[in-house]
Amino acid sequence: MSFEEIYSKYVDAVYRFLKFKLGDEHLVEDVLQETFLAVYKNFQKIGEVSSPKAWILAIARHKLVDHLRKKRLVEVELNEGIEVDPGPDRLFIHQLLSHLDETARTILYGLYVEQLTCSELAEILGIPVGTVKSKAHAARAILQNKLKEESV
Amino acid sequence: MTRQEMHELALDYLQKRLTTEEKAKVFRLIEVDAEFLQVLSFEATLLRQFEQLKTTAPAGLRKRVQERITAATQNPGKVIAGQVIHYILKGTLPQIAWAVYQPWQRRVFAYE
Repeated sequence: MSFEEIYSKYVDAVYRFLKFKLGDEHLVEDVLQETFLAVYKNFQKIGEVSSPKAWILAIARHKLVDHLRKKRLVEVELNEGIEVDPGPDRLFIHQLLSHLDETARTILYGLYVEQLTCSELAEILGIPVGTVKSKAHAARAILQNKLKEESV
Repeated sequence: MTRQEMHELALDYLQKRLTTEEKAKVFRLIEVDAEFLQVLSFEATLLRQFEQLKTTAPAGLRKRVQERITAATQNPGKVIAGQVIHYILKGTLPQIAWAVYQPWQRRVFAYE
């Protein structure tokens, strides 16, 4: 696969991920560009990875953290999250996810939007698969309670 | 089967990732296990909610980024010069002028 083909195949997934994490379109564009430049520079590695999508999203996550650190939007951890303007249609899901920590939000996003496996998410987040599974389970329990409260 | 395994099975079913045997197991559980049915319904609700986040990159942005990557990899000198100018202006322009300059710069680079 050429770089152009990889770009066409994964640009939407990276854009969505960055949009979910950052919200701001200009910031998304900058980090998207940095991500694919890094992909280009390390293109020879893509044949060695088990999941190109997970590999590219892991790069995007690193670039995102670097970018935020540089901009001093985060000082200690990403755990406080960034204020994202979700737009009216996406308000409910963002409200729902606001009850979770940043890692749990990313895990559920990966599972439900990108259809990633727990192993792929573990690779992206740099945590054990077991932690991904247990965090996903705990997050589901929180959301289930919140949905019940909403329906009452 | 644990509750966690039920969630994983239900999600795999909804995302069409199961083998014929696994699907048969899901159908059996739907018939006999009220708890599994509840889990399946919850997973379907979550999937529906997350559907709203399935956006695609705007065509203009896709094109701009691809062009900038091509330029950066084919003419790195020009890009370095551009970055130097970018950081000088970022450091020297007042914040309001920078806010105007950034979108303008993006448009110029997009149609270069």
